[in-house]
Formats: sequence, C-alpha cells, structure tokens
Amino acid sequence: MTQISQPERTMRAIRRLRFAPSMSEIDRHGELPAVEAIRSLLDSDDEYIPGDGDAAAVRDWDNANYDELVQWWFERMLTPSAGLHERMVWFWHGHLTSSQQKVSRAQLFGQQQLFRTHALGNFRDLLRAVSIDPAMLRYLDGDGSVGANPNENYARELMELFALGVGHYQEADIRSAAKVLSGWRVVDGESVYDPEAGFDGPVTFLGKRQRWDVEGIVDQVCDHPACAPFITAKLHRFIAGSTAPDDVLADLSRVFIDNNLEIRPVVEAIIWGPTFLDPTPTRVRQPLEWLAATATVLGHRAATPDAPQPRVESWWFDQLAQVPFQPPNVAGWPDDSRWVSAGQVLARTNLLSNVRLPQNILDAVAPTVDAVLRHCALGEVSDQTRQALQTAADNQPADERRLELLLSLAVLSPEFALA
Amino acid sequence: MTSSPPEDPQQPEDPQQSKDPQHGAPEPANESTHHTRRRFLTFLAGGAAGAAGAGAIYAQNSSPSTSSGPGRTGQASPSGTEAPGSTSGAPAAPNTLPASPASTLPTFSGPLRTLVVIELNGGNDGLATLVPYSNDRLAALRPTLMPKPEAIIAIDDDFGITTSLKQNWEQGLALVQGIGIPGGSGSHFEMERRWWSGTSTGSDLATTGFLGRLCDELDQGQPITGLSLGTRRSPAMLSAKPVTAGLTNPSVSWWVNQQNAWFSNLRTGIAGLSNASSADSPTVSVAREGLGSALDFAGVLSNVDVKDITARYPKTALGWQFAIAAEVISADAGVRVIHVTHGNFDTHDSQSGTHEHLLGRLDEALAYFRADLAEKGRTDDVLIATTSEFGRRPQQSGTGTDHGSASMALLAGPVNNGRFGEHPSLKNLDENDNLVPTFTMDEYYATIAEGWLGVPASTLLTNAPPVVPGLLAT
Repeated sequence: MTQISQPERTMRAIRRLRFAPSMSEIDRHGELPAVEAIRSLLDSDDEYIPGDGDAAAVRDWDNANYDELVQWWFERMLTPSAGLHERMVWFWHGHLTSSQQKVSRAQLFGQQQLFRTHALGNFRDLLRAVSIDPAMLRYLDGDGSVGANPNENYARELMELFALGVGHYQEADIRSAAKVLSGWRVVDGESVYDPEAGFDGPVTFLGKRQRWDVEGIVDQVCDHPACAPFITAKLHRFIAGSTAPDDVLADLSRVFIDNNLEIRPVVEAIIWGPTFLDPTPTRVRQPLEWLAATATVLGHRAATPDAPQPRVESWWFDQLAQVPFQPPNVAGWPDDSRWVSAGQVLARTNLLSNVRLPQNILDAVAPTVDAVLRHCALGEVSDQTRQALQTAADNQPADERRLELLLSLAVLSPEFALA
Repeated sequence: MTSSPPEDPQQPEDPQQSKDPQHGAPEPANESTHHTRRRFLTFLAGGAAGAAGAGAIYAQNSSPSTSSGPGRTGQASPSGTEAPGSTSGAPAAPNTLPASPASTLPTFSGPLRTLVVIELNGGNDGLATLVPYSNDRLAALRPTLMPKPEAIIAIDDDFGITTSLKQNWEQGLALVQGIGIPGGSGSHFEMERRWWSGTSTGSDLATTGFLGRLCDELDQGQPITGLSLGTRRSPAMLSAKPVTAGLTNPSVSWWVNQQNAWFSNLRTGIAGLSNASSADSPTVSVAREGLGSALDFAGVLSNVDVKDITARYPKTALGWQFAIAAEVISADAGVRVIHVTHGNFDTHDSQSGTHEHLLGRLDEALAYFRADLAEKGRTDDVLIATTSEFGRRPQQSGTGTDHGSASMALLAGPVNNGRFGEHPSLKNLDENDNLVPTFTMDEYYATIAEGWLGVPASTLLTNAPPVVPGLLAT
C-alpha cells in the first residue's frame, strides 16, 4: 500500500511515542490529526528521573534480586504517559549496554539513572559519564586496568560500537585509548582514579599526539566525522525503523553537529521528518516492546511486590528472549526482523494461550474486530489480518473467551508486531 | 500436554481449563498455496495434529524424488558418496546466491546426516585447550596461565589436551589446529559477523548466515531445516528461505495439540494472519512467514517429551540445548542443521578458572549428548563441530588474555581423532603478536558442508576452497 489513512497515521504515532499505548492515551490522542497527536504526545511525555526522595533512588538494590530491578523498570514502561523519554532510556541501555553478568544491581540502577538523566540530553556528556560509570567499568573491564598493560575492551567498543563503527580507527588507536582510559577502579560502588595505576604520557590517538585524559579521548571520538552519522543512523533505525536514506542521514547529522551533539533536537528531527510515518511499516517491536504493549492490551501489570493480578511474571521475559540487564553481548540486542521469526511466535502464542483477562478489560472492550483493533492502537490493518479476526469473531461464542481470542490474534498480527 | 524443563517453574496453566469442549474447526480462512510447506498448515489448522505422529504429518508432505543428481536415494544409508556438483549453481556472492531447486538434492527419507554446530562464543583460547605444554616460548608469554602438568593429558611430547575435556577426548575428538581467518580483526563483532555469515573478508557483506544458506540448499519442504537453540536464533542461521527457526523452550508448543474450539480457532487465525499478499512490505512478509513457520514447527515439537529428556541431561543451558537436539534428530523431522551456543569464552580476566569451568561444562553436556545419540543409534549420522570467532593472544594480560587470531576447533562423530593440521607457530606471530592461522574458516566450512552434507561449497562460499582430506572419517 502506498497511502495510509489519517487514523492509522495517528495510531502509529501513538504506538511509537508511547512505550505501551493504554486506553486512556488512545482516547486522549487518538482523534487528533497525526501532526497534532505527535505534538500532544511529546508535550505530555513522562520524563521520569528518580530524584533524591524517590523510593527507587534510595533503595538498597544490592539487597533486591534482579527480577525486582527488571520489574521496577517494566512498571515504568507500563506507565500510560511513558513515551519517548522511556524509549530513549531503553535505547541507551541497548546501545551503551551493561549486563548483570558482571555488574551489581546497584551499579545497574546507577547506570539507569545516568541514562534517564542524559536520555535526551547531550551525547558528549553521556559518553563522558558512561566511560567512567561503575557499571561500565565493571562490564568492559576498565575496573583495574593499569597503564603498563591496559585492558583494551572498553577502548575498542567505545569506537567500534558506541560512537564510530568499524573502519574509522586502527588497532593502534585502541591501544592508545586503552592506556589513557586505564587507572580506574570501582571501590565501594564508586569510580575512583588512581594516578599510579594510570598512564601519563603522550600517545597518538586518531591522528593526534598529545597527553590525554578521559574527557579528551571522548571529545576526540565525538569530534570524529564518523560519529554523527553513526549515532544518527542508529537513532533513525530505532525510532523510524528503517535505514535512513542518504539525504535524510546527512540532514540528521548536520542537525546533531549544529546542536553540539544534543540528542533531543536530532530525535525530534527524525520524528518530524519524512520517514517517521512512512507508509511502508518496517519498525519491528523488540520482544520487550511487544510485551509492554501486549501487557497493556491485556490489562496485565508488572510483577512488583504489591501489584494486583494478572501480572507479567519475570519468566515471560526469558521466554521471549529479551531480559532487561541481560543483553546477549556488548552490542546489545539486534534490532531487526528476527524478532518476528517462528521462535518468537511460538513463545508469544504460548503466553497468550494461558491469558485470563481482568474484569476492567472485559468491561471496556467489546468482543468485536473494530473494538479490538482500536484497543490495540491499530488504525488500519491488512485484509488478511481483518479477515483472520473476523473469522475468529464469527466462530467463537462471545461467552467462551472470544475477547481473549481476538486480542491474542490482534497482538500476533504483523501490524502489531511492527509499530 | 504441558511440560517444561524440571528447573523451569513456569508451566502454562492447564490448557484443559478452557471451557469449550467442541472439536472440529472451520476451514482456514484463506488457504495459501504458494508454498509447499503451507499444506502442512491446513492440516494443523484442521485441529488434527494432536493425534498424529510426526511420521504421519510428514508423509503427507514428502515430495516424490525427481532427483537427477548423484544424491542419496531411497533408504541407502549415507556413506559419503554423495558427490558434489549436483546443482548447477555457479559460484556467486553469498548474498546473491539463488536457492537451488530442491529437485537436485537428495531425497528426504530415513536417517540423514545432521550437523550440530557448537558456537563457543567470546573467543576460545586454543592454547589453553590444546596446550603446547613443552613450549618454552609460550611458558614465557604466560607466566601464570600455563596449566599444571596434572591438568593436561599428553598427546605426544609437545601437545596435550586439557583434562577439562577428558570424557570426550576418551570418546574421540579431532582437534583442528590453527583455525582462523587470515587477516581478521580483533573485534568480536566483526569476527562473529564473518563466522556467522561465512565471509572471510570484512568487505564481503552477506545478508544470510553460512548455516542459513546451508539450510536453504538442504531444504526439502520440511517445516524447519535449521534449528537454532538457546536464547535467540543465531545470525549464522539467517536463511533466504523460511527454513530456519530459533527456539528458547520446547514447551512453548503445547497449544498446537489442544483440541477444543478456542485453540482450533486460534490456529486457524494464525494461519490466516500468515497468508501472504502482494501488498505486504518486506518486513511484513517476514512476519507472515514467521507465523506460518511457527505453526509448522509446533507440530514437530509436539512430539518431544521435554520432562523426560531434560531429566537425563545436566541441568545447564548447554545440557538443555543438547537434549532438545537429540530429540529433534531422532524425530527425523527434516532438521539437518542445529546450532547451540556455549560461553562466554571472552576471558580477559581470571582466565584459568573460567576456561576450565566452561570446557568442563562442555565436556559434561557433550558426553551426555554423544551417549544419547549412541543409544538412539545415530552416532554415525551426526557430525559435531565447534566454532569460535577467534582465539586469544599468546601473551597473557593481567589474569587473562586479550583477543587473538587463530584458535582450534573440536570435531566429534565420524572423524579421524587426534591432532589435525599444523599447529600455528609461537615464533612467527603477526603484527599484533597473535597466532597466524594455519587452517582457514573457509576450509573448515567447505569440509563440513561438502564433505559431510554433500552441499557444494561453491554454492555457499565466495572463493570456496576444496574439501580438506583426512579430517572426516567418511
């Protein structure tokens, strides 16, 4: 199809600018033209950063288990007004990732705070902060690296995965950066620099020979001509779901550079740009994104200690192969069509087959195709999807879990699996 | 009925709670006929799969042989005589390889050869696996990392294998020395990408994986030809045709056998959602294929008794993957390539303990797997081969090792046991002080694909080398 309807444009904006579109948010923004809906969604975005008095900020996370940390975050994702900011926290967790494999819960929470603070802030500040963040020092072996024989792990990924991409640096640059980045340790959960263990001498890094510190290394990386295209291309892929055309990428890179690597302007440029509501849907919801949207559709809550049933239990994340704080490797999670492959469908169908809806959903959603599609923030679907749902509606008695059946098929549909 | 691994507490609720006792189902809304394997969908959507064994399901689907090539036919056991050259596909860039017509490949019937690939992710240290224990140069480079004599089983005066692999060494292993990609980089992701995609140069960008292409060639219309176990489908399994799948847990298929109307309508609905249309975008097409393949493969899994098999294996991630692999192999369901993962071998720190632990886990789970295959009479049908993106640098760094180049690989099954090939020199290191590979990834892949599965390497690899003789005992 080459055109999408105005209602579908608005619904797509809702699907992309809310983490988990809820009935209240669909009612609030769903009747607006797409452009107004986007503005309204951005203006009402919940930008949650736990402050000093917040229970999460003062909690001793090392005395909690990982599931509690995951569910705490999942609860945030299910917050009706959680949108772009929360999605950017999720993005940075996947991009500048760290894993519970090597990092304590308190350190992971600290890294969350860092991402929440800088999610839409300045990329240079974010990269400087994460380079000496305790969780990152632990995850990529900066902790205890000494100048005489430095660990190269972080130095390599800083350039390869975090800021430049392969081909824009030499192995010698990695060795140089590793020396400069050495000397840090994580002591009692804090990053501490020990000059004795560090390296204090001139090295050649990305074509320049001088004495460096961490900020200097990060600045040299950020000022490299490959940095802006690398970051904006990945942001475009995450937000719009497609590979940015060359002209769009050039525009975005210029916006990023002109704004001194501020993240919000480039993200908004993507949202207001020509590709965000492209008629050809390409953006695959990652399993966690799908699960958050599905949980909201099904009236399920995060399994926090006092949450009512029904709840998304922690093993659901495992079964869908995407557990926050457990990326498969330092490249984070892949962001492509593998998340709509057969294994995912099997796991999703398994979860859906057991679903019991709470009364508020049974009361609010009529067991008809149109009501179900709207409840799922789908403005327009393919003939096959509509027909599959209609056949189910015709054959399944309303009082024999028809609504469960229709919602299950709707969230399994290609339209819902994409966003 | 519902079953799941014993250590996994989250079993689905009793599906029989569903109220509707009705049997039978409406006709699938929109039967798609564009693909052979879609016939299978119709069958499932009709709700009859529960009573049928896999044999009955596949009997419906097996296409008559029109083979004109020298491939296997009938019930003849595989004997290594399947000559290459049965396809007309000329060498081409991997990402543009045409799928060769199934009619030129061996007919699917009876036990066929299977390949099980164990990816040791993170970069396995070949020097700590097959140890040049009397090499003074290595001892100097690794002042605290050389294994103690009692931790090595001597093979000869120069080399020994770590005792962490004792069980499998005693059962028989081929140790392929110096395996790597000449001119590779030190990046996990770059080297994983090359190993997964089967492209030895950084500039050769393939959109499919080596094992995925292998499955494209081996495809005979079965629901799944390649199965990736573990937490996600390996990029090595990315195929051009929808012939591979990833699987996190086999109990996820319980709904496929439920007979009442709700489940029947669910299956009919999924089949309807999987119907292709010319209006579909490429991503939507992939999503529809995923829906269709899920229904297909649920049928395969519905015959696996998870509770029974996982009770017999070590309670580790690898043990679980091998347990499922053994069942899938013995089901003769058309799965020819299975990928499992084990790791993380990225031993920058505390290498000695970590490496011993990881190889010990491998030894334990692999020994169970081989015993299980032997019990099932499948030892001669299964080749087990390890991969790893690179080895480690000979010189230690702190308590671990940094990314290196050449490593070594383990092969089990119908292979010639012992050291194979030439061990890389510890004298002539490359400019990054790493080992120079003596056996290339391309040679390894060509030997496995062509020598074991009869798929011409030229259809899978750019500049495919010949099969390396003497490694496989076939």
